[in-house]
Order: sequence, then C-alpha cells, then structure tokens
Amino acid sequence: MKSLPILFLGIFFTLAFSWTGIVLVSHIQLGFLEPATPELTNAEEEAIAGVLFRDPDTGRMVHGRNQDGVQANPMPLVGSAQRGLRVYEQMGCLYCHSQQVRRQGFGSDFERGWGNRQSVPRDYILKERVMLGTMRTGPDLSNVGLRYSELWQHQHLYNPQITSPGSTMPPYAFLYEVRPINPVTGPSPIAIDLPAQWALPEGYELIPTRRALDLVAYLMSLHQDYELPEIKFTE
Amino acid sequence: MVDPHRFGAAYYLIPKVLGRPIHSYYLSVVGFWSLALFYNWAGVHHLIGGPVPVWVISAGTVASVMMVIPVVVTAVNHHMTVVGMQREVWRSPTLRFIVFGAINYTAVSLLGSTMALRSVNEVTHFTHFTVGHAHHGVYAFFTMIMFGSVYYMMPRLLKREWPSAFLIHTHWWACALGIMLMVVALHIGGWIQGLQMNALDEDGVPVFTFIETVRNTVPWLHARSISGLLLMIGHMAFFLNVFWMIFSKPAAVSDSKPTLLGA
Repeated sequence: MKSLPILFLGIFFTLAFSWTGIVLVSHIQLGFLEPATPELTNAEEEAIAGVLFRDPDTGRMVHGRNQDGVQANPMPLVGSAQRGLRVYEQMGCLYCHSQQVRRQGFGSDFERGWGNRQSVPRDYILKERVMLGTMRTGPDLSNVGLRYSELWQHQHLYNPQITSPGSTMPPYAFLYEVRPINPVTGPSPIAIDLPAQWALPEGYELIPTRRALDLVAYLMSLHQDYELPEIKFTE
Repeated sequence: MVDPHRFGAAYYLIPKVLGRPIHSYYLSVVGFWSLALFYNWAGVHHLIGGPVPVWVISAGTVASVMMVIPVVVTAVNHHMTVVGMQREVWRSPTLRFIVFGAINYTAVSLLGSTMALRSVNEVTHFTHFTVGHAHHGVYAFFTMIMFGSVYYMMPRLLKREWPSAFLIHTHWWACALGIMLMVVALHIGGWIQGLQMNALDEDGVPVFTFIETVRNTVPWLHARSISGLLLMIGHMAFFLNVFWMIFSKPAAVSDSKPTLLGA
C-alpha cells in the first residue's frame, strides 16, 4: 500500500469538504438564531427591514434587536406538551406526518391550509427534537394546533374513523381506557365525549391516559402563526 | 451510505467468480473518488422545499446530479466485465444476485439523481415514491448483493456446498419478483399520489381532498403487502438452506460439486 498517504489525504479532504459546506457554513449562517419579534430594531431603536443592520460604529452588519414589549417567537415547550413530544416520538407519528410547510407555489401546502407562510430555520431552534419528517401519508402538522379542538384530537387518536372516515391511520385506542362510570362520584370530568354512533355501552366512559393527554397537549402546541423578521405571511 | 460497502463486494466477487479481470482499473478509481467527493453533499436533497437555506438545497441538487459520473463509470465497469458471460452469471447463485444488484444500482442511482431536481421532487417528495426509491436502493441493490456474497462465503467458510438448488431458486425468484413488484407499485402509486396532492384548479383550490389522495394509495399498498409476502417466502427458503447447510453432516457433502443453478 504505497499510496496509503494519498488515500488518507483524499478521504480526509472529501470529508472535510462536505463537512465544511454543510455543517460548518450552515452553523456560521444560522447558529446564532434566537427567538425574535416580527420586526427588529437597530441601535437607535428604529425599526429595520429584515434581520441585519449596519452598525454605525464598526461598519459591520449585525443582527437586529428585539422590540420591547412585543412577544418574541418561537416559544419553548413546557410541561405536558414537552412530555407529549416524547409520546409523539414513541408512537412513530414522524413516519407518516411532516412538520414543515413549503412555500406557496411549491406543492399545495398553502392551498391545503397547512400554513400561511413557509417554515424557516428559526421556527425549530427551541425544539428538543426536530420532527421535520419526510413522509405525508397523513397531512402536515406544523399548524395542527390551530386547526382542531382538543376533543377532536382525542376522538381522532382513539379511532381516526370517528373524525376522518376512510383514514388509513391506525387507532391509538390503547392510549385510552374504557371504564365503568363510578357510581359514587359520577362521570369523570376528563372523560371524552363520543358521537352517538360511536357511543360506549351504557354506564361506561372513555378516559384518556396521561400519555394521551400529553400527546394532545403537544399537538395543540404546534403552530407557526407568527411572523418573523425573515418571513411574513403569504398574501 | 451502503454504496462503498457494496462496491467492495461487487468489485471483488464479479471478477473472482467469472475468472476475468475487472473491465478497467482506472474507471474504478474515477468512480471511487467522484463518489467520495459528491455523495456526502447529496443527502440534503431530502430537504428540498424545507426550512433550510436555499443554497444548501442547490448544493445538494448539484451534487446529486454530479453522482451520475460515479454511477455511469461504475455501471460501465461492472456491466462490461459481465458482457459475454451471461450464462455463467445465470448459473452462479452468487453472481445472479450480485448482477441483479448491480443493474439495480445503475437504475436506482439515475432515478435518484432525477428525483433531486426541484420540479421532480415537488411531485415525489413526501409520497410513497420516495419509500419505493429507498427500498429500491437498500433491498434491490444492497440486500441482493449481500445475499450473493453470502452464497459465496458460506461454502468456503464451512467447506461444504449449498444443500439445495431448489431452495436457492425459490429464494431468488421470490426476492427478485417481490422487490420488483414493491418498487414498481410504490413508484407508480407514489407518483399518482404526488400529482393528486399538488393538483390545483383555476381558482387555486386543491382538486383532490387529502383523504381522497390517501384512499387512492390503498390499492398500491395492497400490492406492496403482496410483495412483502413474496420477500418473506424468499427469506424462509434462504433460512432453511442456511440452517440445513450448517447442521448437515460435513462428510455427506464435502466432496460434492458446487451447487449451480440450471442454465
């Protein structure tokens, strides 16, 4: 193997080449992102267009500052919704559902009401796991928290045929318990109502488990209904 | 990811079993280095339309199209080595699987380069087309080459021949037909799914509701289930043959001829 050094250098170079491009340059471009208000300001608190402004002292382009008293987005997941992300992972929702909206004119994401703007890197900076997904056996979920009620989510998870006849999604009935109604305390306040044709036998109620409640809290937390300095709603 | 692994197997076994050198040493070098240069960049074509900077996607698309170079070079090298010896390939269990894999490598890679184009990706992304493509790559090309390699290795390691040509036949036909059925069904079904997903009328309203596009994939998914059944039959035949080979008495088969398939 007299060409071993050349082989080694060649492999090192090709790996370094792609690592520099995809990992390092992307990190330099996006690594500093933080939650932002829809408009940013310069050092004199004047609104700027876009993300960067020229610092008069140094002459360099720097990132704008968040406006005071305006909500910065995205917001972190907390509590039940944070635990729900784990359930989302464990149930394999990722295999059939994406969480990324493509721009209007590329696919039909906008026309299907899956989002009113394209998803951008900043939308994902606080996610513990980024559930982008590569498959849409089911619809995109970037904004599913805006589309349906909690009751709809529970009925749909318990049996997708209740809310979406003809769906190929498997039922997640094992996240729910069918229990006799307690004769002393009466029906549980967290019992899930079912439409008449899917009603349980007389005297029984449908109770979501902890995991079902967490998963629905997570789904209800999914929304990209805010503008960012780099992206506005599609007209 | 699996390409380099498989390249090693195919480059070793095709010349070894046929007893003729690889078509061109220099082409294999060109193939290796162009693959090493472009393949790492190509992965981001899975994010076309996604929340990443556009230059990343453009770079990934360019690299995916540049992959045509190593693919064509490798195709010329593998297929030219085999040309004129098709009968031998068909008779050897090892080569039948490996050449099937090599042919599919050419096909799946050229399809993959096409799928990285934005206009094509707009249709195929998020559909069963991509799933079919993944199985085309990892099964029709990688797994089949690994099967072929096992057919070569086991007799040499155990110093005994494969006990049943019938089971090899069953393995071959069930797997080859099964994976082809899966690939064709998912490609056609996925393409239709993508067209229906994107179809808008003059007012910009989707022509098909989402649930309609889902229902229209069901017949293709049934075809996929049948293909899975065929693959299972093939795997059972392979398992039986391996089991039989390992636990048979060595003396009974040690001085027999190699197990070849009918011409």
